[in-house]
Amino acid sequence: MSFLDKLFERSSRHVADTTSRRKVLARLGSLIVAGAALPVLLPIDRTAKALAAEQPKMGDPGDPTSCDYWRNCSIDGFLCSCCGGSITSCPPGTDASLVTWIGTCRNPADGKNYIISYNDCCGKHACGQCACSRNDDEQPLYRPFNNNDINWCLGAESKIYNCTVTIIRGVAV
Amino acid sequence: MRRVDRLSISAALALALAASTSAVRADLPAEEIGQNSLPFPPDPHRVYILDVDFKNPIAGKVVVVDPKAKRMLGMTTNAFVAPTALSPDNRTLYSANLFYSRGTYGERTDVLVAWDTQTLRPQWEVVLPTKRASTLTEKYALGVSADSTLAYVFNLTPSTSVTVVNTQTHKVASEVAISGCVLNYPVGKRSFASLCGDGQLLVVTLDDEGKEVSRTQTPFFDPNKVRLNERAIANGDTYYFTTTHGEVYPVSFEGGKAKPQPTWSLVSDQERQQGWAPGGWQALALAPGLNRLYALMHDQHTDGKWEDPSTTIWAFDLKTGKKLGTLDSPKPVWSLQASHDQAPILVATDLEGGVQFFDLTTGKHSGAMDQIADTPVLTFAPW
Repeated sequence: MSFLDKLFERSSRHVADTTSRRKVLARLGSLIVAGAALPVLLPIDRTAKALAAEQPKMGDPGDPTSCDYWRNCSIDGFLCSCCGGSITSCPPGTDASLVTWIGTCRNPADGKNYIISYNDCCGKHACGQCACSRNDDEQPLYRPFNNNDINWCLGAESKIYNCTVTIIRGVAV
Repeated sequence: MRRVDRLSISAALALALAASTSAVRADLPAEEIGQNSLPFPPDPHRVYILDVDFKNPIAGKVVVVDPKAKRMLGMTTNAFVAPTALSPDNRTLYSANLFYSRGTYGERTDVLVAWDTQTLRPQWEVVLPTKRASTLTEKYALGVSADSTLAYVFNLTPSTSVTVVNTQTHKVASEVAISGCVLNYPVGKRSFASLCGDGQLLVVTLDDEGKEVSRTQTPFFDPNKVRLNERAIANGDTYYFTTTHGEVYPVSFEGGKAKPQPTWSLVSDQERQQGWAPGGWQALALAPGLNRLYALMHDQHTDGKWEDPSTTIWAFDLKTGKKLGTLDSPKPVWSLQASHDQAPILVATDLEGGVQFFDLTTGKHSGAMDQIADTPVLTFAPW
């Protein structure tokens, strides 16, 4: 899921997109992401470094605690990397939901599109850390498996949402 | 002044002071605790604000306010992003709650609670199948029939269905499968529509007990060509949808069957080129008293902004589709709702937990209530 940050992150992004210097920076960041295969140019939120649970891997560039990390292209929720989990594992005491929504994200390192599943971790309150909302591929509710307004704790024992992981399921063909 | 005179004046002042002090210290009468309730019928401008409280989503509430007095009138309590709906007779506010016995874990109980809109107390409740949809709260995840006798609860497991509750017997009447379709748009006394992933509209008709008697499916839009925002707005039995690029898709359900009407656009070719398109959580509102449609609009539109807030609201004549003007909000707003009277107001939820008010007869911003809620995701107006 991932409706939890909908107002806050979306609003801050919108305000940023419509005002002054941040607008320029946001547009610049978007252009870089859209056009680049150069990992070193990816926008990275340095302030999140202290929270980082993982280091960038070869071929998997970027900071997993940053909303701009390439796997987060269709996420709408709290990043588990900031909540005691990682990009592929849930925080202690939460349960992974095996039913999920998927997105397709382009890895700037190799230029390939990867299928990413956005599994939710469930059973505890909303984590509240590293809210991130990017809806480029989101579809309306009548296409539920491409919709991130649904609480995807559907496949967990408790339906209460905590955070979201971003797992590579394969290369999109 | 002689000494005697000075003594007389001092004595007089002392007496006056004592008298006034005595008056201030008179005991207030004993009181008894009272109990407020809300008048019925409600003022047409009363606002029910659905607050899903993102920071504590297992809770949530409905805050009732008087926009004229800018005053809170009371509240109800909800559980876990509960879909909420006001009955057409204005007597009952329904919420479809999801509880766990230990807060975030334990035994799950889904329950439809019927709140009395005068006492703001639960009147009755029905335990539901544990299937209630859990999404950022959608306007049509919970509906009530036009005669207020049936309530429809949208289920998503992720297979989809609708639990029909008979509000007279206070029992679950049936579960209607709506495979491949979502939500329930109330139609008349005994039907609801659902929007399907193949672009069709499903219409299910029920009997007086709430059990299905028939269904129809009608082609409505091409989901491979357009993204139709599911958060429509109704004028009687006609619903208005919009694509994420601003093409309006009206559909009439008169007679209990879907009859798509000619489409029209919120944006001119020039405006489209400038990047104008609708966006927001509940981006459409409709004022029947003025026969006008209101759309939350933003420029520099991209596909990813279809749920984004804005400060710009456009007004349209429903009969001609002509743009009539613009309302400017002092803060970015996300969800719109117009009142149903002849001198309507528009209520828009802002992103800081407040609501912005607009007088639709003048087209002017008429005030606000800041931080009246935590996360006001939708509002409701008396019918």
